[in-house]
Amino acid sequence: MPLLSLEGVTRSVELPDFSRLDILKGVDLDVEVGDHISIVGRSGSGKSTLLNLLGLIDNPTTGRIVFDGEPLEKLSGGKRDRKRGRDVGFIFQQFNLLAGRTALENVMTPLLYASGRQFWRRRVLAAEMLDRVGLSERMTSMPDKLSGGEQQRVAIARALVRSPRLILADEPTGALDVETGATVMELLDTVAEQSGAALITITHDPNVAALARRHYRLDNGVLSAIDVRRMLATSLPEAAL
Amino acid sequence: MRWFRKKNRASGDAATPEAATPEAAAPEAAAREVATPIDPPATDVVARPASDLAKPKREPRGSLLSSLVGSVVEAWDEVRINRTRVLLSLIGIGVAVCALATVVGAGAVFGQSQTEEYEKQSARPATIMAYPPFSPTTNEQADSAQFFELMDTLVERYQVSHSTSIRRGSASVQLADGTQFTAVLAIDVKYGVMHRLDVAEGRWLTEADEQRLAPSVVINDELYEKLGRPDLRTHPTIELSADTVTTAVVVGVLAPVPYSSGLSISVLEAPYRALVGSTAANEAEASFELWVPEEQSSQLVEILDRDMRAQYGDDVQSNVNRSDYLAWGGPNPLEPLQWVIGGIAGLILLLGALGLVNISLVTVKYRVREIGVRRAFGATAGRVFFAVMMESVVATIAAGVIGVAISIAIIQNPAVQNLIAPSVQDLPPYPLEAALIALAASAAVGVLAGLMPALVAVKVKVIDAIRY
Repeated sequence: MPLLSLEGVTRSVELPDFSRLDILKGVDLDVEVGDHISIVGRSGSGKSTLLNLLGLIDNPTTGRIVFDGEPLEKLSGGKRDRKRGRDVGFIFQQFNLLAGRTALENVMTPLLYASGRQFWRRRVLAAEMLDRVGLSERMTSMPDKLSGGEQQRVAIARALVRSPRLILADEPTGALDVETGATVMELLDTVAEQSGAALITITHDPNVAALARRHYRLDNGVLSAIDVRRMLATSLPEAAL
Repeated sequence: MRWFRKKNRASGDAATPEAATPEAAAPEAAAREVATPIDPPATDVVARPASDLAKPKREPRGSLLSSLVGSVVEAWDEVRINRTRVLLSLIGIGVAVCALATVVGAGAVFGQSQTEEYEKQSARPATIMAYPPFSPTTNEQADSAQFFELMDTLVERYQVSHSTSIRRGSASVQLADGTQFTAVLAIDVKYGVMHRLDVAEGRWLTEADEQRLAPSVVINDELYEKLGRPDLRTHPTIELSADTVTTAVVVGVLAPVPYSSGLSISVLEAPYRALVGSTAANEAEASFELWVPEEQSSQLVEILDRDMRAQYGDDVQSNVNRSDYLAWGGPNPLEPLQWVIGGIAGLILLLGALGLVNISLVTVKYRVREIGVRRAFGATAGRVFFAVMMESVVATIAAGVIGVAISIAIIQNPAVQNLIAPSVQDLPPYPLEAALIALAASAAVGVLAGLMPALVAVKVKVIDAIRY
């Protein structure tokens, strides 16, 4: 049974002139435990909308999303929030670290919504996680004192500290230079692999996408499998997209 | 640049392009992150077997407690991190709570002062006053000496701890400018406590004064003034003329009163009889007072009346009544004052709350992204609501505690106490009710001020907040 399954998922919104805009059109996707999937697409192709659906943040207009064999529509708002906290880890393009809090406090944040051992040992767990991403010396640093790469490492530690079963990375290298992006992606890939969590990377960069085992392209709301390596070998990324 | 092709190179290469990148602002940090090796999993934080990941995780027990503690921790962190903003926004609340606690506390002191004033004018609640019964058949009032004997028996029977006989007579006192009439109050020792008599100089009468050959007297301030305010340590005397001429020793002076009451002296019953003679003493206006618990007063009035009739016959007109100010009827005389003070305090707090609501609403607008991130990491709508609300409550309670502490310092200050109630005898301790009311009010203000921002926070759309 797949960890996450999208079956004929569509998402549309109503525009001010009462016309409908179809953002996603019949998306089918199965994500297995330990999977590494990349989804590439131009700006406006519906990547973020798909990310929100995968992350249990948004509801599809039609179609089904099944997580752990449980249809999403059967989950109440609170249960879905708790499931998201337990099973999904987010990594954002702009890091979205909480200002005024140290790296350690940022990593502790998801554990505030945990319970039992994870909640009561949150400081120890967060410190261990920061150590895992090589930031044991920067635990007390504020986000504005960290470099972009370090901030994204903190964000990775924050996303992984509750041992999620699915990691969603939205343009994880989008705000980083190429060199730092490489290191961050390598770290994310390795840590996700070690943890056994499924990793879905949404990006417009084919180089980032190439790190995944399965590759998809989102084009005008339609999701289709692609061969990224062939795409990289033949032309510039922009041409391929 | 193809970073993915370089990732297997030696780390020494990696530092080269840093200066040309945005990371140039933090070259050391950038070099550190490129060079940092990826450690193997050190704990169970990340490295869970894939078989475990295939199984849904179960929420451990005690999630309610961790949710509650988590919300408070979150709220406190927010208050701590934004302490300058919080401090500024809470100055108004702190001042309002301090004002509330101070007016309630000052009200208690002032109220005590008013109560004491009433008790001085009448007597302490509940005081029962009895007069010798009047017989319509003989058209005479019962003999006061016998009446006092009966009352002493009843006091013993009903175990009344405080009672006094009272005779009101007069005598002449020899002063430097001639002889003047003075009121003479013949009473028992406990009269002083029952009527809250405030002795400004010397002391009140004691049991030992019964035995003194020269009667001890306590005089009022007007008479003391006439005597030229002699030092009581010199045992000043006055000459009283009634049936006989008696030299009395002034042992105490009552505190001055704001109104003129004429000259008066207080003396114990036995010396009074010696001064004016038994016949004159018996003819003086007599009454008897008993200070009893309020809840027993009405029952005791009935019992005393019954006992009086049993002694003197059913046809006598017995006169046993409560005489303290609370028996005057009508509303509590302090009630209007309490309402005014409460109203002012409430208004102050309302103004403080409005300021806090204003600041909280603006703050939430700036925290949309943070709230979105929290929601993404599993914070439920209820949790966000509670956390934002708690921020407000935690902050206002902290302000409340500080406000109450300042209020205690103000109310317990001797200069302030002297200003509010200069003549108060039993200065009340800082009223617990003032602290509790102020803290409850600060918590309530926190809830009210946090309600609107919390509702706004709950309505934050996670998607929009993260993209914001």
